[in-house]
Amino acid sequence: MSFLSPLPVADISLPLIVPAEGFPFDDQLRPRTPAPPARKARRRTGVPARIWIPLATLAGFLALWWAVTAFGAVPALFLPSPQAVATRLSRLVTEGFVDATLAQHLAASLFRVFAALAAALLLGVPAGFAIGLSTVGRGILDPIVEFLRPIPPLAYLPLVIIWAGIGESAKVLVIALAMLPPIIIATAAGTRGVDGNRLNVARALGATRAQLLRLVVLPSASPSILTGTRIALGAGWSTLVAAELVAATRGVGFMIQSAANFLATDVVVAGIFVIAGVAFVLELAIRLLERALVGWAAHA
Amino acid sequence: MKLTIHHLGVQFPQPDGGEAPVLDGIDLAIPAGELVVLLGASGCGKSTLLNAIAGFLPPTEGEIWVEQRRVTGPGIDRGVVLQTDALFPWLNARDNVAFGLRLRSIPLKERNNRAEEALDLVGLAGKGDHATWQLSGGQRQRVSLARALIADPEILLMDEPLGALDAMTREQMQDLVLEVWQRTGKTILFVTHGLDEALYLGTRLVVLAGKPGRIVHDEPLAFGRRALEIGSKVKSLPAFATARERLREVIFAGAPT
Repeated sequence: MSFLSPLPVADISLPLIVPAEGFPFDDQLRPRTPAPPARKARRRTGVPARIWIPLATLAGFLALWWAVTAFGAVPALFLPSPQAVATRLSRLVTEGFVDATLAQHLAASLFRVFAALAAALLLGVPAGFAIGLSTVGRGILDPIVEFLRPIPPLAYLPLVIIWAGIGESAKVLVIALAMLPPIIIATAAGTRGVDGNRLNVARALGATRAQLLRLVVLPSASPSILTGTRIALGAGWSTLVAAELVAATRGVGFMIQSAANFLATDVVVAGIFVIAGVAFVLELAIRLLERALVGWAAHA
Repeated sequence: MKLTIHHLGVQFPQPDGGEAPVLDGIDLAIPAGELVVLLGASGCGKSTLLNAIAGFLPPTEGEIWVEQRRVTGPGIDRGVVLQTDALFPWLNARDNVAFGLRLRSIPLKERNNRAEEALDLVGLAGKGDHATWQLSGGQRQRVSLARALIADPEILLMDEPLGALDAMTREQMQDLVLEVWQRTGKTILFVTHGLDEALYLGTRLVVLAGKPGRIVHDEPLAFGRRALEIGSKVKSLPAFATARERLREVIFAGAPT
């Protein structure tokens, strides 16, 4: 999902290493020659390379897609043309598919993902604290997390259905289970990384254990927690389609599944674009949130 | 006595199961209002001693007393300023300074007023809204000092607070330490490995050396009080140079006088 992120969003978890003015060596190593008289400064008026190259790549794919469908190289059943998908997308918005408009499908999916995120944060952040701060907590929770982490959500979906039924709670549960490990692991890492000197200074100022947790450990770990949340949202959104396979009547994943049953390839492709688009918007949103909440982490 | 240390010993557990002694038989008594400089080479245990006094580190043997209270852990009677300023980067300068007041649930308005006063004391008036990463190394240490002072500790423990600063900033900060000491009348224990810094600031010099670290030298100094009057000219006094040479020999010999 992140290969679709060409927009100039500062990634605060990966600060740029190259200084803006470039490396100075080149200039120093070469013998000084007098500057050429009145060399015209090249004025850049166009779009910067980091924006136009990804855009051109996307345009290239679109053109290729259009070409293979327009000249009949691939039957429309396997790959509908871009125009057909675009038309279908607008009809999905207005008329919908299997008794619900695209907005209703999306709302159902987003509700599941965000309900699962809330549950995963509510459980995962305290669990991460316990792992990061206490040997006992780590001993109890670490094996569970390490057991859960590598299992693909599809593998435990049948078990979750046996336990929680085929209702809404089973879907939320599966997504939440997929979100838990990244949140727990990121929180634990952030908690362990708290600067001991900061804790000591706070203790010397009279902080109680609860105050240390709330006023020093939690803010210190918050950049990590947000990074974990970003990864969890990606994991949860990917699990969505699997969770909506079973007995759903709404949802983008369900829409794609039933479209596949009717061989409505244009709906399938349109649905894939919607899923990718929403993932991209979620990623952007959480990066903006990171910048607003823990912008200091980029400097500290 | 403001601070009394009886026969303090600290041992660190080793990976092989043994114990490595870091400090041994430390006896020290500091009267109120002194600026005691603790001097020693790297690894002699001076930071360990400071951590023990701060209550971050339980001593293996011996006792530490502040007035009539025995030290069993960190407390607001002992403020600390560390070499790494350990500021909270998610708070601006003012909120960093006010942190100790926030812990005591003091109302926001009073908190801000007192933080501004403390910032003023360390020469950072009007910088309260700055993020910590917008401040220079010297300014960050000033914030750190103001943060320790606002809790109104009885003793200020400073662990090589100027060690990470460039030479010129360090000189300015030395004068600031003297000024703050004069204006607040605090008892200060200042750890350093710089002989010039020790001579310039201290009313008393305690030299720690050896493995495990012991106090090998302890003498009163006059330059700190003199510096309050004539500033850095103290460093050009013949007596300063003489004392410097004599103490160099003491420290490198590592022998008790």
